[in-house]
Parts: sequence; C-alpha cells; structure tokens
Amino acid sequence: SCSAPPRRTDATDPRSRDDADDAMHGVKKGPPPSDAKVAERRKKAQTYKKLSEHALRAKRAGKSDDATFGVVEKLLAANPDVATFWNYRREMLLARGSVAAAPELALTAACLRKQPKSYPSWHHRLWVVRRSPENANGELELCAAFLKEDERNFHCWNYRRLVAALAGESPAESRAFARSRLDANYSNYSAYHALAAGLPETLDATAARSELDLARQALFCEPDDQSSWWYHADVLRRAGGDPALIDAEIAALEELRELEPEARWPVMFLLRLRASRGIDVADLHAELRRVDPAHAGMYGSSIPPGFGT
Amino acid sequence: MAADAPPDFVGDLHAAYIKYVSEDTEALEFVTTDYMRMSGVYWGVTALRLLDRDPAADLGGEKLIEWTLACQHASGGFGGGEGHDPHLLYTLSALQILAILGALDRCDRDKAAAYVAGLQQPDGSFFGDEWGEVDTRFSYCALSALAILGKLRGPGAASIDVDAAAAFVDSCRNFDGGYGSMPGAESHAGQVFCCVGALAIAKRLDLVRRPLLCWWLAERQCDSGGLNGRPEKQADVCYSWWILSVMAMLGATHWIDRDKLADFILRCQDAEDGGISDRPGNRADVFHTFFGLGGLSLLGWFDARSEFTGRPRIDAVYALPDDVVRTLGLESQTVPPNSASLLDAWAAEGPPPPPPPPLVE
Repeated sequence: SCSAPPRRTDATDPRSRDDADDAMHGVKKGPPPSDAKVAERRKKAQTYKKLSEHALRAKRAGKSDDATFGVVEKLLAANPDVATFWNYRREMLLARGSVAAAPELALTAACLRKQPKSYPSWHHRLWVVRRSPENANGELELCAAFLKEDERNFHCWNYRRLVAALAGESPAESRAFARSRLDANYSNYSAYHALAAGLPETLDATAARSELDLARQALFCEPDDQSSWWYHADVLRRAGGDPALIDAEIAALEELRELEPEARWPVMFLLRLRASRGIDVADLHAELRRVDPAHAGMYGSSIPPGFGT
Repeated sequence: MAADAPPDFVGDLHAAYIKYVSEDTEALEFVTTDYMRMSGVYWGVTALRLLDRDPAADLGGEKLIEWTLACQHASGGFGGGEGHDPHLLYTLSALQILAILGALDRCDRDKAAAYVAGLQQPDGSFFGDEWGEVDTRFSYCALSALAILGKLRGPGAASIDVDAAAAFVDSCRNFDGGYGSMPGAESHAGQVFCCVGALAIAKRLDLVRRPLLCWWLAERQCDSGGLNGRPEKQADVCYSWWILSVMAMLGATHWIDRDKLADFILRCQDAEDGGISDRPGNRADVFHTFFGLGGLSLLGWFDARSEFTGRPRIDAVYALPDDVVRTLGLESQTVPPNSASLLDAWAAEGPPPPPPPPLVE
C-alpha cells in the first residue's frame, strides 16, 4: 500500500527539513525589525557578550569554582555550539575528579532538544558515555526519540552507530532498527544507507531478491522518490551479473513503466539493465533526453558504441 | 518555480553587505558567533576577492591580520575567535585568510604545521582538537592547511601519513559513492566536498567511484534548479559550492543544468540589501553569500560576461582565489573538463567486448 505522501526534491517543498536548521538556514527575510525589537536584541547581545568574555577570561586563568561552572553552563544552554565552553566544562569536571554522567546527559539533552544538530553537544555526550558505557543502552532510546522527531538527523544516526557499538548491539539488531525506520517511512534515505552499510559485499540471488522486494514497495508507490532507487542500484551491484535476476528486474521495471509512464527513474534503470543484456536502448535514451533535458550532459548525446547491442 | 527572469547580479550590494556585517559588531548574531568568526572572516574576505575587490582595503587589512595572528595559540593551532580554544577548522580558516592577505609568513608556520600533524590518528583520521572528535571535515582541513603552509610534501614536510589519511577517507565511502563524516556515516554534500577535496590534495582521486558519485551529485539538482545536499532535502545555495566544486574536481559539471543553477543562485540574492541567502526570499548571511558567489565563479558565469572578466576565479579544491593558489604553488589532482556521459561509464563497466576476428594474411 502507498500510504505515505509522495516526496519531491523541490526547493519550495516545506515538508523536507533543512540540514542545518540554524540561524543561517530557513529564515524568511521578513520586514525590518521594529526599534523595540532591535533594542531588545542589542540588550541580549550585551548580556551574552559580557558573560562570554567573563567565562573566557576565567578559562585563561584556570578558574574552576562553582560560580564559574554555573556561568559556563548558562552559556552552553544559551549557545550550545560553542566548543570552547564544552572544553572548559570538561576541564573543570576533570579537575574535580570523577565525571558524573547524569548532569551531563541532562544538559546535553536540553541543548540537543533546542539544537538537534549541534556538533559539540553530541560530541560531549559521546565523551561522557564513553567514560560510562553502562549508559549506552539508554542512549539507544534517546536516539529512537530524536529520530522520531527528525528521521534524517545524521548527527543522531552517527551517534547511534557509536553508542550501539558500546551497547553491544548485534548487526541483526542494527538492521532491525533501520528496517523499523523504513516501516515508518519507506522514503527514508538515512535508513536505506544504514541497511546498505550492513550488506555483505556480494549477495546471492535469494538475498538479493529479498532486498529488491524491500525497495520495490517504495519504487512502485512513489517512483519519483529517489531514495529506494539508490538502494535498488546497490543491491543489483552486489548481486553481480546474475542473468535471471536481471531479467526478472527488467520485467518488473517494464511493468512499472506501464503503470507510471511519466516516471524517469524506471527508464534509467531499464536502460542500464537492458544494455547489460545486450538489448537495444536507443528508444529509452531518447526518452530520457526528452523528459529530463536538465541532465542532457549526463545522458550524453549518443549511445556509446557497443552499449546495448 | 519562479516564472520571472532572475534578478540582475548586484555585486556592489553584496560587497556593501559584507562590509556592513563586519562592522555591525554589537548585533546579537555577530556576538553569538564569535566562536567561529575566523571562518566568517574567511568567507567575507574570499567573497570580496570574487567580487574583484581588495579585502584589505574594504575591511582593514592590518587590523584583520593582527586579529588573526592573535588567535594563534602556543600549540600553533588557531581559535575561532579571541580567547577561543584552537581547532583544526579555524586553523584552516586562519591560514586561508593569511594566504589571501599575503601574511602567511607572519604566523608561526612550523608550530601551525606541528599542531595539524599532531592531530592525526593511527587510522589516518584527524581529531578536530585535543578532545578527540573525528570527522572527515578535519581530514580536509589538515591536508589543505599543510598544503598552504608548504609542508605537505617534500623537504620540511610535516610528519603526517598522507596515504593513511587517504585510506581513512576511503573508509568513509558509502554505497552511493558519496562520503560521510566517519565510517558508516550517511553521505552528505559537505562531507563529499571534504573527502574528495582531501583526495584531490593527496592526489588519490583513483579511490573515488567517479561515475557513481557524479551521478549521485547530478541528482542533487531540484526542479528549482538549485542543488540539495542529499536525497529528499531542500535545495540550498551553499550546495552550489559543496556539490559543484566536487563535480568540477571530477570533470562532470556538464552533468547538471548549469544555466538553471546560475538562475537559482541569482534568485537567492537579496536585491534590496545585498547578500545571498540559502533560498529565494530568505535572509542573507555571509556564509551563503560566499558560497553563492563561489558557485557562480565555478559555473563560469562571470567569465561569460564582459563586465566581469578578469576577476579571480575560485579554486574548486582549495576554495581560494586562483591567484593565491598559483602564488603558493598549491597542487592538486583534478579531472579536466570533458564530455563523457554516465552511459559511457556504464558501457565501460560492462563485459569486455569480444576479441576482434584474426587478421587474414
């Protein structure tokens, strides 16, 4: 069934989230701010600047008293992207002896809720969990929650991979997690990537068929969504040149083409597979150039000699 | 999709915008980004060069150089701003700034090289700083920084293992031909730039799965003409740099619609106040201004217009004006422009053709 809405790689599609989602991305220009707003922001800037300069001076002086610790924590909560403050926090924690995980997990979780793509916040959390790997299992739950919010957050996927190793997650469990993300949305490229990363270099026909079936659900429901096509291409690569498999794929793609004559991706894949079986591809090539002139240079103006003959 | 023609190129407004931002030092955004100012200055300085202006004159060269030098720590690394800890990211930005302003000799070059080399790990990766974060961005920063310092190869070279650096980058290559931040990490345009850039500097482009990667990169072009950073994401002007530079390094810029991309970049300009934003109608910033200009430069957009010929071009590998690259003798490996297609690559992958029939005597 095709219950999820189709995705489009369009500059104006509001459904696809930005990779940065920070002060520099996705901010509408809007009218100039009012004088009151400008004054408010200047005041905020002055407060932040004072506090930040104070903390940097304290760091240079090697201070690690409670008051300074508190100031740095406040600054991090306000601006979690400042690596120097995370460095300073770690210096102070190490100077005190042991590092209690709970406060660090609480602070980074708060920072990440505010800024889920903050490199230094994820790194601090990893630093903490590496020192106390008994927390690794709980981290898998945190990752599941973050990926529910934004299934494409690569910071979280990367962090999950690292803590999963600490937690002793098996390849099968990792695969099951990636599959669960696909079950929620068959167009999740990050999940396909995670699956592909776990595939063996070569696949026998049975294994390949199973993987192709996985991709086929998405390909047939939304043939313009490229996520599953990349996975499909990779599975075929790992399956080698098995003629029976290729012929079965050709048949499936021809069926898809009849259902979705406007879709470009089936034409591309059909062209490549047919050519590999020595079938003429001139008509498909011409069609690609006609429906997708933007990629004319990629398709080339002529078919290479010997290709598809 | 906009039906109107794209707006004119408002280069003078962009220059004024960059100058304005650099002087608006009490703004909240300025104050809260002090930790990464070094990169912001690099973007502004390079953007001004692409606008055929003199950043020393526009922004106060001596003051800028002194500020940059003041950010170099005893370890040799540079912080992102005054009082901030050293990091590879800002070490590269600092060296790039000094290179453009002709002041590399005024920093401690040996210490800087030692700082960079000291961050390499046994697996060839680089820590960003002493705190141990690993990311292929740092591989690029390290190789580029050492190249700029003239300490990547030859006598006086810093002791890093370039082969190991290349091998680590290769270990971050994914099923789609792209690269992530670490082994197993999803491909992302920014990481792809860092990885292919690092391999270009290391002269190891042989490790790149060129046709597959260039196909994946070509499929970043959206209906709007802009490029996104990975599948099913929004187009963003900064990918005009991250993606296009890699396609330029790999000789495949003809695989996208270059005119449509140029139009998209032009529509991302703020025609009233100057600067370029991530997408049309959004607020501008120096980051996107630099990368939008870099994209236009790589597209040959300035070269094609008589009023803009003669200005410096951006180098795809080093992201520096090409006159600086020439002056410093920065080397890299790239694939020259060509007309090869994806089908040519698929044809080359296929089974070998049957041997020709024997000659008849």
